[in-house]
Amino acid sequence: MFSTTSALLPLLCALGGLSSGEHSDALLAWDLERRCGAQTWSALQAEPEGPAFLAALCADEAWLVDLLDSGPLKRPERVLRLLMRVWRGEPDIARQPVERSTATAFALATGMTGGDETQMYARYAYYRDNYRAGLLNRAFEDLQTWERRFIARGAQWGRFSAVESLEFLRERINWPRAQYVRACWQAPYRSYNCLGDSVQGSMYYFPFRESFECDPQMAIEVGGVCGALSNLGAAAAMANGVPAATMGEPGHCAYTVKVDAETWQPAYSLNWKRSLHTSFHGTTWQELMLTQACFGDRSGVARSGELARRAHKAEADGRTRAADDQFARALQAHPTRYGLWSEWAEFGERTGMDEGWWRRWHDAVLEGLGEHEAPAWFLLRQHAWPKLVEVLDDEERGELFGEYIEQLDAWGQGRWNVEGAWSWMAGRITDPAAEDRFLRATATSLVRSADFGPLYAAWLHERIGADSQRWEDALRTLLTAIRHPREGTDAVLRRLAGIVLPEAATAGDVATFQRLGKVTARLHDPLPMDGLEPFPGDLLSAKGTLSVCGAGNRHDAPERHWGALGRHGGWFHTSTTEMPWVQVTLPHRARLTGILLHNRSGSTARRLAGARILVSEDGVEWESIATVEQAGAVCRIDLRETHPRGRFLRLERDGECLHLRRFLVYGHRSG
Amino acid sequence: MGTLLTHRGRRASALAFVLVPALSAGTSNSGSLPFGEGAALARERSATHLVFVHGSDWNLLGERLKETVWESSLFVDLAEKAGLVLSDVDVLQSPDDAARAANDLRNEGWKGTGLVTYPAFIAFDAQGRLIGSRQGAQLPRDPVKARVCLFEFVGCLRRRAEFEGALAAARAAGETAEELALLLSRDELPLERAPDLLERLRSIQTDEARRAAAKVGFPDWFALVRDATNEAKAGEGAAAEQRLRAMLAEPAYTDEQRATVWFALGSAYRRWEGHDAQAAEAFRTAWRSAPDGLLGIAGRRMYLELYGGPSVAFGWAERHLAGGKLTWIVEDLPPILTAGTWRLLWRASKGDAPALSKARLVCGERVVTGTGDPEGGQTVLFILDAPLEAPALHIDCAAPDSAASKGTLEWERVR
Repeated sequence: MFSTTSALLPLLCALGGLSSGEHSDALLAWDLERRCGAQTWSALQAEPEGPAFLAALCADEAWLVDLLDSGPLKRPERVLRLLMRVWRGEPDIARQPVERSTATAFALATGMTGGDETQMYARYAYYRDNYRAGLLNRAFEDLQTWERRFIARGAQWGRFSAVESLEFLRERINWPRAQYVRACWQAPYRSYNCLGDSVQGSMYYFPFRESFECDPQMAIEVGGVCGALSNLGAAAAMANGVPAATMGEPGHCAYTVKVDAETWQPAYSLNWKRSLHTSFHGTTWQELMLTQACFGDRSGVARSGELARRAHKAEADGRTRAADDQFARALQAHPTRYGLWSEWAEFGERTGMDEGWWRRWHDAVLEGLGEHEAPAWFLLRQHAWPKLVEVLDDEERGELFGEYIEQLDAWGQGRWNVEGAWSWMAGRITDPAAEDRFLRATATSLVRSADFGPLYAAWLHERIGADSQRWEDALRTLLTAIRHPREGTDAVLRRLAGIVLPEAATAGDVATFQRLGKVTARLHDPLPMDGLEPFPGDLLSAKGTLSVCGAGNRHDAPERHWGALGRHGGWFHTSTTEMPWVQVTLPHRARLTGILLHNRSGSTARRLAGARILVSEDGVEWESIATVEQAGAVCRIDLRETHPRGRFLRLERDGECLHLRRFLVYGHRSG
Repeated sequence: MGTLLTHRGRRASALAFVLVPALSAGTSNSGSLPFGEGAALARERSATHLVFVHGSDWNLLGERLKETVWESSLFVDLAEKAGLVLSDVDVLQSPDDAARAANDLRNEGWKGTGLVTYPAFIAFDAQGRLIGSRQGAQLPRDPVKARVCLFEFVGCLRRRAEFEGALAAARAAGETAEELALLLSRDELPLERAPDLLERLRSIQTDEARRAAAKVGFPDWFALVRDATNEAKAGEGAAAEQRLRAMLAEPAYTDEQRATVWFALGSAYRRWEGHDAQAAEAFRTAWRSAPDGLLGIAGRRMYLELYGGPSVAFGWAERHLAGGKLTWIVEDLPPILTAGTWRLLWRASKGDAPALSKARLVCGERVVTGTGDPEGGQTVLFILDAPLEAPALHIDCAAPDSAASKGTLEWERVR
């Protein structure tokens, strides 16, 4: 596959300072032996036909490059044993590039799993034979070895990738490549089988186990939930020679399909928290994207692979400085090669590099992986920061982390657990005052990012919200930072309000609710007060809080809750439940004179009819004071005759939900 | 199972008239129409519309079939004689914008009806209703066999058209016996079931038609079992029982259909408190009604796992160890034991194995007592001098001291 390596020599020489004389198959063979280790190498040499196989392999530059530069080579004894098994049956395999690449991919995948080698060989034979018979998707022919590794690994559920399953799926779901993202729906979603047994128990498939050719067919006939459906979808793609992988999500199973030469498309995915069941280095989606970026650039892989081999050779020869230099050049040439960053860091560990070296490594990661902020974080946390943090004080640590944070602007490759990164960093700063400075600096840096700003605000509230003074300060910082409207700041405010307003209302924190609520007013134009004739007294609700049952549900807009209590106008929408409710907490007890309910427009305005209004002095004992008879545009509840007393008002109804533009309460302060 | 890709076992003896022509490729003929034009022409001619759905830039098998079968003069001649209108739909995988636009235009009107997998031959009647298809497991990968398959498909379509003509005539003449025979013959063709079949059968007032309607109208197995289960769970077990027992009184049902009803009944009893014995019997009867069918197998597995004695399939479990002296009856030996020496081997996978004192094969009056294996171990040998049909294995044993015992029973012919 990488037969162009020789042709690239002049380029390599220019980039890596190589002389063409130094480039040889011998270096590749040396690298293979190095990776195997002496014991494995000797064991292979002792196998029947072992020397002949190794000689054939080591004499084939393209095959060696394929084997060494297609992702991690783990458990080389398993890898080479499977490859030798293939070679014994197909001694001319080196001259058949697709079969050779497929065999190499299966061998490499065997090293990544504890799977049975005989079954792995049988599955390799399936792809070999079906490729030759022209029964796989035509795209299979053009795949690179690293892509074939996903097919070789198979679905999470091994039975879905057994040969009989592959044969079934090859015929049953043979579709254009991009359509496999829908293949999961070939099985009906059923939490319970027809006998009423849950899919979570062992009896769901038990009665039907002997009746189908294979498990995918059983899933199609009997049903399943996300696990079966996603394994079916992924296995169907793979059975036809299309790379795919299953992946876990919180409480869910999804999958991804490589729908063209560059695009991995999530399928049946409900959450960004994806954990891939087939991966080269880490299991996150961002790492898959990095893998694609890396191995999609074949010349970059070839260049960096060659330089990395020179680095290892130099190290083996005791030329540490030259080795370090070659690693740096390799990663400069192809910075998306995640595994090589780790190799370089391990080199640093082995050779006892000092703080200055780790600082340079740190800077190189930041520069090289700028567009891949999640993998960069993983690398820094794993290798550089533990070393550097040891020798830095709190202020310096904050500055070090700040260098990384400054690079965060927008999701490079999709959402990831950046909150975990912030928590890790903040946790490494021991002095509370220094931590606050770090948090404020981070707030200033991130708050204008439409992607990171809202998340940071929410994370910050979760981290320090319990400490009212710290939260007060942090809030001031955030609001100061977003004082001037720019792109992204409204999103910050909306997210912040979405979290903070309902929490403040629940906690009875009138001050926070009001402070933040006033800022949210700018998010929406005021609603006209037409037809809203006020009652005597003060508009008490405007200085209170609003709690909404199921706040933040998909119809609700918590950032508009504050507006719904006053002249500005706003919106709330409860969740649908047996008894939906909203509660206004006034700033103090009062004698009420009246209530104005500003209804929504449209047919669902009828839901207000029959709603009850209750009042309470303590929020525990409630008294019903009115029922809404008709759901007009404005409902006036005149309380001037009874003047009920209380601090808490509740609007509730039986069934469905409640939604209003305003809930205005008038009255006079009462002792 | 009733899936699109599975023949329902309906083979038409009427197909014998289809002569499979010589299998040479013949000359190429690419005269099939775009889908929309083909559909319009079929409507105009009241003809059957046969569509070949393939993917020219990704599906090599489809291209092979297109070249060697679809475009062969042999097939085109056959289709012409059968009065078919031919269309093809090419579904591309990665076209550029121009190719996509041109292809979309050519495929206009194609909604994917009847398509499950690629490549596919799909037939529609003149009104555009799905008649049948050959795709997936029904369509051999080998081009020679695929050609035979396609020719047979054309034969079916042709035969169906003849049935339609004859049905119209029989209906017009009021010949109900003839109409019934034709309806049933048409239904035997390995094609989609005609949507009006049940209605037609019900309109014929004969006992044979009523029986045929009962068979044809048998509900989907999953829904039948699910509904019975849900009824029992909702405390309506008696209603489910009454309904299902009424179904069992229908003599027209096939063995597999009866097994389905028994299985549904078993599930209802299982979810109906205090009815374990009835559940066991219903699942067992499902098994005995259609031992190799989907619900027969499922019934066996449910019966043996939850209610029956120890079995070759699942061994013994703790529930089989109540009491000191035990008599086990193993019901899932092969249906016929040929003459020779057979061996029972039992192994504990957890705890101690029960101490076996006597084992015998029972078949009506005939009893064959086992002897200990001279080679030792936990084995018993049975020497049969003549075949034994529907045997049961009776084992007398003593429960182990610990009730936490599980194990396997292996049954094999050794000589």
